[in-house]
Amino acid sequence: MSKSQLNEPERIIYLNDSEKNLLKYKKESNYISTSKYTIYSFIFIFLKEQFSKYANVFFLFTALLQQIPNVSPTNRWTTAIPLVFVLSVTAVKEIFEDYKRHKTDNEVNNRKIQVIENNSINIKTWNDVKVGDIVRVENDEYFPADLILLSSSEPDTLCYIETSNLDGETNLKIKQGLVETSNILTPELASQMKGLIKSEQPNNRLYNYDGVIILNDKSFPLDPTQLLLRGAKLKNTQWIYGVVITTGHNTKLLRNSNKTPIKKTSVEHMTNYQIVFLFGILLVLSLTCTIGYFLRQDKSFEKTVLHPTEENSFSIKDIILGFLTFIVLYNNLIPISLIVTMEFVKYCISILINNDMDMYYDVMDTTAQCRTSSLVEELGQVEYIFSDKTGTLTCNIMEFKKCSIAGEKYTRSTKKNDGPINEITFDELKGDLKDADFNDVIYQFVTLLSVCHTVIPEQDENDPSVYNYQASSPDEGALVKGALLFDFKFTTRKPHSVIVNVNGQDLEYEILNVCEFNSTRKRMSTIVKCPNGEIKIYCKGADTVIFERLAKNGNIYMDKTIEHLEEYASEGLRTLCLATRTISPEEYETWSKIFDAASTTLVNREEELSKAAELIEKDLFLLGATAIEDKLQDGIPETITTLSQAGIKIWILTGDKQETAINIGLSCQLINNEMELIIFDDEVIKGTSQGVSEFIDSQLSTIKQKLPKKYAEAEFPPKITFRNKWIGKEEDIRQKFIPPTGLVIDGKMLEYALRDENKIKFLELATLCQAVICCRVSPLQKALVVKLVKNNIDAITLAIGDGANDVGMIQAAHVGVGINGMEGLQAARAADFAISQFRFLRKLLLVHGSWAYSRLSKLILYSFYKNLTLYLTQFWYSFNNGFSGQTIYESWTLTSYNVIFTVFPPIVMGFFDQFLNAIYLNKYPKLYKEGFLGKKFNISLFVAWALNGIYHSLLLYLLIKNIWFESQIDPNGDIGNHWMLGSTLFTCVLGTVLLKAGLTMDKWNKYTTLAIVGSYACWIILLPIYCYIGPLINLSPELDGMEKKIYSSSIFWFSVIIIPCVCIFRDYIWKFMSREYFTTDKHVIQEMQKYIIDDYSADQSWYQKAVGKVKLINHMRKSRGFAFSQLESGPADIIRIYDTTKRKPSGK
Amino acid sequence: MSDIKSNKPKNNAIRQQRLKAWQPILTPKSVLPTLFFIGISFIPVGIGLFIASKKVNEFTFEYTDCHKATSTFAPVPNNENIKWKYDKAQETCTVQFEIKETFKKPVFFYYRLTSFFQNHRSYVKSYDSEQLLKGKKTDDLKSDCDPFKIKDDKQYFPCGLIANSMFTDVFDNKLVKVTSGNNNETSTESTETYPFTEKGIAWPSDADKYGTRNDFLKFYGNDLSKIMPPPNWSISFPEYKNGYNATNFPDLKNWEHFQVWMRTAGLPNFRKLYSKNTETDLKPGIYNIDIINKYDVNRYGGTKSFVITTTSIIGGRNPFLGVAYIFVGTISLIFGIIFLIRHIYKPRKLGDHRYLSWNKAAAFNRDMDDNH
Repeated sequence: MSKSQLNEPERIIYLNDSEKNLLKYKKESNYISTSKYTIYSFIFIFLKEQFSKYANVFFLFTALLQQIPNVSPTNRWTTAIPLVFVLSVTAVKEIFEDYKRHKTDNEVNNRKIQVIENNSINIKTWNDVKVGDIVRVENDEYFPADLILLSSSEPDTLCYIETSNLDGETNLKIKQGLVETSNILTPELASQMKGLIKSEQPNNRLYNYDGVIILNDKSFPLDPTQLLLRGAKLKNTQWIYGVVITTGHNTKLLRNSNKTPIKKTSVEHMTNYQIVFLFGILLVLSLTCTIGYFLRQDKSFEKTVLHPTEENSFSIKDIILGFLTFIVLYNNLIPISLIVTMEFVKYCISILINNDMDMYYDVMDTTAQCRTSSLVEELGQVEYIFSDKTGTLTCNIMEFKKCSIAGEKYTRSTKKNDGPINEITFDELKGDLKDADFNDVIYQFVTLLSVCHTVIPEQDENDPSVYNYQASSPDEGALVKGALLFDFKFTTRKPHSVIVNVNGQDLEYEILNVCEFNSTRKRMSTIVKCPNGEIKIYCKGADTVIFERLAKNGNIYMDKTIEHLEEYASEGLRTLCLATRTISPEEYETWSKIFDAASTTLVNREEELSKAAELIEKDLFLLGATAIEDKLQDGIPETITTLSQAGIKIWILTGDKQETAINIGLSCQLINNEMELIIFDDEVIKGTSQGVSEFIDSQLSTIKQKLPKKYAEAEFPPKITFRNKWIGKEEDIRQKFIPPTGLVIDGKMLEYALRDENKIKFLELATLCQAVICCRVSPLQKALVVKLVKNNIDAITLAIGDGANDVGMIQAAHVGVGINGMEGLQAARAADFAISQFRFLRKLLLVHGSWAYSRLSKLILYSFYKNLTLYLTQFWYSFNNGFSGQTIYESWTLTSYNVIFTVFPPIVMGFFDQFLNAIYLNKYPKLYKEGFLGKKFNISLFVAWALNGIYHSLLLYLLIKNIWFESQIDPNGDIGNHWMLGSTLFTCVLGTVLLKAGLTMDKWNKYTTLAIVGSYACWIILLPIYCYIGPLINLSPELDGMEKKIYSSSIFWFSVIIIPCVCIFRDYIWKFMSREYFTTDKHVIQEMQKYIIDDYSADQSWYQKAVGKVKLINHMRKSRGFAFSQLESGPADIIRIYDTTKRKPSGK
Repeated sequence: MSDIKSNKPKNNAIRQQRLKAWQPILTPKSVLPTLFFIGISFIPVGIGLFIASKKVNEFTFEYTDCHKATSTFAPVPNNENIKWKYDKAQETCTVQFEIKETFKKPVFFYYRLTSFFQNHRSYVKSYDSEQLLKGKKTDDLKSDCDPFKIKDDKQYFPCGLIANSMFTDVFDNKLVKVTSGNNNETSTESTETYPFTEKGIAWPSDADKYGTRNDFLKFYGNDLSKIMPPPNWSISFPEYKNGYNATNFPDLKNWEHFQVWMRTAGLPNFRKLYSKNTETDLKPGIYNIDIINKYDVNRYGGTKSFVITTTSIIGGRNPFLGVAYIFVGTISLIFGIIFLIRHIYKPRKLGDHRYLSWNKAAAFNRDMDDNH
């Protein structure tokens, strides 16, 4: 967008004048790109990114240093070539990953769309859509850009859209075009339109829009009702015509998408520290050697043998060059291959995750997708999970599961063993409908279900006997569908009546009035005139409000119903009570006047209507109650229980209402009825920040009384102490001291709670609770909650969600997981990992996460160790070569150590190592704790490994020095030289570090064995070949003649056997002793795995079942769950305009 | 649309991470045999190596201070059994020593230097391989040769620090047996000698790296005024006092002492082969050896010695390797025995779920409850 346009208050879009539009919006195209690079920018962006890593800068610096003559003790290309190699590997990986992004972009950009040009419809691709184009979008198609709705196939220019990509809500939304454009029903008419649209400048406000359309010199205002956003989908509407007002990156959707933040894992952070630390060691070593070098300048050897001609052989310049020499000599203390190995391994792990059959969802044919491979080890360290509800925990499918009619329980027959036997199935209910003595009640009950609602029926095109129901509330849809089971088929909606087909007979119910649902009324009622002329009110709503309005003799089933309601609620079902009353024509006459008056009031209309409704909704007769199951996705309760056992805290953040949220919490076993719930009650708090603050204080102090003093008085949030970094965190066991508590807060209260003055207190309270549920939260608040935890607690957070409203929190969390759900891909696209089902999280975290964390820890620590071991021998050697910086190994041998001979063990470690297999990791979720407590990668481990490296290198050097015996090493009297010493020592070092690799790996398969044995064999085979070829091509003249000597020398073979054995002996004994005498859980379970030992203590399902039964009994006394998810100020008005009998225009 | 490729992952062992694998768990069953095996196999090897090393006959004598000796045989300070004398005019040091046991052939003669950093970085690279092979134009010489590359437009041949610092003491190529009288004065040299040859002391491959005298003369032509020997050579080798001519130009390909020197040692204390006798055993007796003493080791605080020795499978008389094997074997046995005893008296049940921390905690709580 150019500057001049920015300053303009509005965009002018000409209708049917593509030249003018083109002139103005030449630079705007509908092409979108989410890729990181283009062909041209690749090299710059890539280099910038690579050299923002310390290690790479350091190696570049070293490579440059080596170019200074006389500084490098090794060949001058020995750093530059590996660096180029390492960078090219990274580049290939980046290109490959970006190529995938380009591919998805292309797929989106090449979607087809009908564009109207010159009276006809042309098919174009999305990226060809331009500002000002008039497009025709058909049912179930996505809008290619932001459009202004002109006309549609539906009456009154209505159209339905689904916006799950934008806000995560899956219910349909209604848009309505202007009357003035409603007649544009053909391409010809559309092409003839003249005029212009003045539109606001592109912005990211999803719910606001201002514009004006000028037709025939008359202007009409445009508002969000006419705006169709890119990302939304046309539903239940055969077609629409619309004008493109903004395209591509200017659309509100794309304006809303933040650039995906680059996330770094805590392991990477620590690795970076450790690299800096190693750099420190490097400096210390170099400095020590420089001082040695400096002191030796006075020695007679240097004076007489090395510099006999020079008077003062030595200057500051020499010292500096000497220092640089040492830097070059020891530069590989920092493993050059580490970063690329790490990235390569992470990439491999991500491929393994993608290929996991257990995370393949056959219904949608999707696999897990690892989009940010750099985060894989973070999966093993997650401590907090923030989960969306709808679409993530639930399928967003409501099912009419049970009902209680006239004190009789009915249940939908699913599985035989499901539920107690004393419930009657729906099939029997059909029989009862005919012959039970209370069959009238059943009849009324079912009639209510099929009459009192705001659902639109739609005849299926293929099978006219089948009806699809479009409901703005999934609950209502479920109820109407439920009525189908009793052969009450709702077929037609007219503005003033509904037709229900009962047993093949069409019954028309005239709808006289509708008293709408809202959150204060918690009920809706319909006044209908039955086919027999009777006027009836049908009312459904929350139990409490219905019970208040029962007639004295209308409550005969109340006790039974309440009992049933409690039972349903304990199962996490959503309940509604149904009631009815017959109204005398006189009463209706008088009441309808009041109602009509109220409905025409201009001020306080809603209130007036409520008052009017109150007059008629009384003396009701209770029919019974319905129970709808908000169907959980498969395996949710098990997954949540397992994750909790693993010590992960799960918070639910949902846009849903409090009741629904608690209901889901119950049904997925996050909360149970023994839990004390801290509910942020509006009445207690009075909706002020002060109130929230006091509430939190009082709750906190109550809870803290139960805590031991040590914890109650501990500072919160706990400081990140050095201890945490040193041996990992301490487990937060505060929850063990307090009875199980859950916290429920809604968006309004959360706003206060998240204020600076309250948030830490709130966080403390929340972390003391076993379950936290935030309901009615906005996408922004979701992100804020995640950030609150992320910024104040030293813990890894994971956010999981499916809709666009979850994108914020997905991006805010350390790890974002998207459900690549039914429709919207927005969340999956923004996420680091995409899975199809919440339950896959269990394997993703417990198995893949644990593996990745343990593998990468080993890989990193081992890489540090192996380089320390090799390069420190150089340091010890310095003491014996006059601190001259001479290397003991030949240059290219030294380089190949990192690039060839020890590159595979860390890779196979990262790829194949499994400290336990998937079955046992699943069986023992408690092992997961090691991850988020940071037990496998911390400073103490780093120091231990580093010390191990120092110990090994010292041992290696001292042993070889003593074995070497003044070079007289050959039975035929020949002497060994410098390079033979170096090659022998190199073989010993290689043997030692490879043995250590073998000892470190918990699993040996053919590839790991090949990598370890192969690396060694490779060296043994290549050494003589290299000794022969190297001098020939002048690569390593110093090795000349060694190929004939080294393997015939017995001291070589004796050395390479004994030295690695001596070095690894301690490690071997230590490892054995720690298993035998300091046995940990991991050791025990590893043994169970290897020797297939059964552990009956782990199989506690019988126990859990028993506990479950006890809980069920406890439920009986507890609250009843009302939940109904109809929108307030819903579309009832517009829906009632609907006439399904009318034919729709074809629009062509 | 039924032919759309399914995304279902392939069910193979790598992708599903179910590769057959061996779990290397260190249990007593695997560790104890390993430890005993190491013990049982390393100790004999160690003893073998130790004995082999012990069987080596070696005679070492440091003659650094030989130039301080008198002109007649006198006992060496601190070592009464050995006598030496120094002839200032000839710069010759004669050492008289006793060989007590027969040295079985082959017998090797080494010189030994200490504190000489042949592995110094400036030193190691200070030569020009091309010059040594076939000669090189003065301007093309590698700068590594500094400070002995060029002087006053003349090139040093061979250039560099290594060549310049070449060990120039000359050992007589025979030991002369002394038939001793009653006292030292009467001892007389007999004609019985033990000869050494100076051929075949370098690595066979070394000869390929150096050119013959003719090669160099061909390259440099007959005008050798622009070529000069390294400064130390002019002093130490009488023949090079006045520089090179067509007859005294070094024949590097056949000069094995030079080749041995050029193969730099890895550690500052080293031996270099000087000569050997592969034909006959060295019989016990008192021997004299003449050493032309030209090489100054005092200037850098080092020492020089000569070593007459036989060899074993591992080279010289070095018990370290044998001891190391014995040590590792013994330690391994000791640990093996300790672990075995512990395992017998207090075995640990493998994979016992009672050891799991949460089960232990639960058991602990149960006990606590019982106590109340």
